[in-house]
Amino acid sequence: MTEETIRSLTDAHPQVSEPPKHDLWHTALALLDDVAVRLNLEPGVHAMLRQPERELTVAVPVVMDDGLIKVFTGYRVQHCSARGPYKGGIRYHPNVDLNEVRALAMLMTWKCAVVGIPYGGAKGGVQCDPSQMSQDELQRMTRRFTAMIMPIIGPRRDIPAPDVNTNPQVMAWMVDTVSMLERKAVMEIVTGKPVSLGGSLGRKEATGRGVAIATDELLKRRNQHLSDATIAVQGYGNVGSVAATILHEMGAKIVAVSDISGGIYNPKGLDIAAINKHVEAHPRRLLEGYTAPGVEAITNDELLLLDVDVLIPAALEHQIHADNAPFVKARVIVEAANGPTTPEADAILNDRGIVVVPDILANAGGVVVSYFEWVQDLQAFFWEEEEVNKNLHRIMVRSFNEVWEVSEKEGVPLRLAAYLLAVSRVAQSVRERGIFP
Amino acid sequence: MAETSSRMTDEVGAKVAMPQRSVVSVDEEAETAVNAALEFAAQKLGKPVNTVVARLQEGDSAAASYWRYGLAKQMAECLANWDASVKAVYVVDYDATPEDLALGTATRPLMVHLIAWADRKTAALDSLVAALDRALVERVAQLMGMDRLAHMLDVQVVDDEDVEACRGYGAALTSLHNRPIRIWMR
Repeated sequence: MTEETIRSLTDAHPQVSEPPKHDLWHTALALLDDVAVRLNLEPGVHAMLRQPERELTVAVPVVMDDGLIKVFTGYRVQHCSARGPYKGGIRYHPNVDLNEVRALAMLMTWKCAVVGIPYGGAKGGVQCDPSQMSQDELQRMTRRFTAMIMPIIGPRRDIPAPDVNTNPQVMAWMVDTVSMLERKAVMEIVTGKPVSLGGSLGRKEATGRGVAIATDELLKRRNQHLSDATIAVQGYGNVGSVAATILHEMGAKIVAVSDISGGIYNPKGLDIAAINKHVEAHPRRLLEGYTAPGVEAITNDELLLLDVDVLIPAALEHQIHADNAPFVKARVIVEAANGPTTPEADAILNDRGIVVVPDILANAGGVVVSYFEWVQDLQAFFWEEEEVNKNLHRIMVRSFNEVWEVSEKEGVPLRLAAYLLAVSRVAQSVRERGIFP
Repeated sequence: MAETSSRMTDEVGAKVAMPQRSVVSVDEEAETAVNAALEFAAQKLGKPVNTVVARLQEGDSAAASYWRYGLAKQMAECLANWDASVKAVYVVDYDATPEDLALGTATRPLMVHLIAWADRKTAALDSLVAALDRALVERVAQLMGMDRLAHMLDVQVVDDEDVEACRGYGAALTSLHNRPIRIWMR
């Protein structure tokens, strides 16, 4: 049998290597159902929150560079508008599907509600592989997709933002498309725009700054000062590096950081300024190659198990799982990344008395400043970065207090407290508005 | 017994240096891969290769994105051709949240990050990755005039257990928030 024959036989079974399919939508529903029971939510309101208000599937025909027409599939799911217009990102990925978009739209509703910003949740996407598309093809696809979802988006309806494989350039194309079709400037149609087109100062650092604020607030609740705290940060991208830098500036001792190239550790504290300088100068913006007296190399896995006051996972999902959760020594975990702790690990950490500040609260700084971008665009008046950061601080502190109070009052972990608060707020808005007509 | 002999094979694989013919082939693979990645980026950008090289040196994010994808595809095929246990390869890039990745500066502009799903993790596969990485570093440093390259290729190998249990990088394959893109499958 020739290699070619074997390969052709193998190709006849393309589904040989598929990761298990997790029903993301039903996982999101299960979370809501659990919270609804705890809140004793009216069945009617519960039913309303279980179902997205609107789902749109669109065909996105694009003339490719070779002249052929390819038709992509796009989605926009709007979960709940009880608290205000919808808000949520747009992703370009071959595996985008309705279930995933629904689940993310619902999670966005809760995230906005937790931090008290006047949005409901939405999410959208186009099934495509943007890495295989030229910039011109991406632009044409973006413009057509924007035109197709225009009936349901708008500054007072639904405000998209960047997500997986989209970026400020894609947002700029969306602004231009809507502005051309409406024959007026509609800069406030999306957030995550370049600053030159109405993006907000401070957005890039906002998520990391929010993580730092959440960390500080939690330590205060534990009667611990930042200057007495040791902190380890897994992931030194935009969020992790900013969180480490700000916490360091606030007086904390950052003893370990890591990125995809590995980690570094110094129990006496790292020189974050020097590390940032090293990363800036590195051809690939990595920690690798950084040396200093007292600094030793560690792995990402080792970093997660360091004996520190605060562990900040700021990289991938599911880094803390059932196998390593029993060995985590951090007293507190602040989830900068989305989903870094599995549900099984969450239960183990809770049993062990390790406090976890959930992602829905800890990394909400980004969506808060996205809200500020929208507000500034609506006013056509832009704030200095200091004002953005001041308002971000105020909202993060307030939100943390509110979640903490629920946690204390109900005797539940912060994650559940955040969802109880979020769902109860959305439900209250539904009640106050009544049902149209 | 099978497990023991498999472990012995892994240990042997770790101790035996790459045969001379493989070293030469790895260098050739790297050369071919780099050229193919440049051609891919040039095609997508609609610019000549030397413009692409210049843009990569400047840290242009669009050029870097196409370059990374082109190189990732080449490396994926290379891994799969050399190691029959590799079942699928994904290209990955991430920050704490997808929006922050989009808004951050172009991180890791040239390095390629892959997740290789294999029947099992072996020292032989690790050796192959290391050899490819070294070859790529040399070729790219030559091409781009960069003397600080330490790594060009990062491959996280996951097995069936990692993927099923959603553990470590295995969890990334079914990520709700930021799923990697599959670029090769057996």
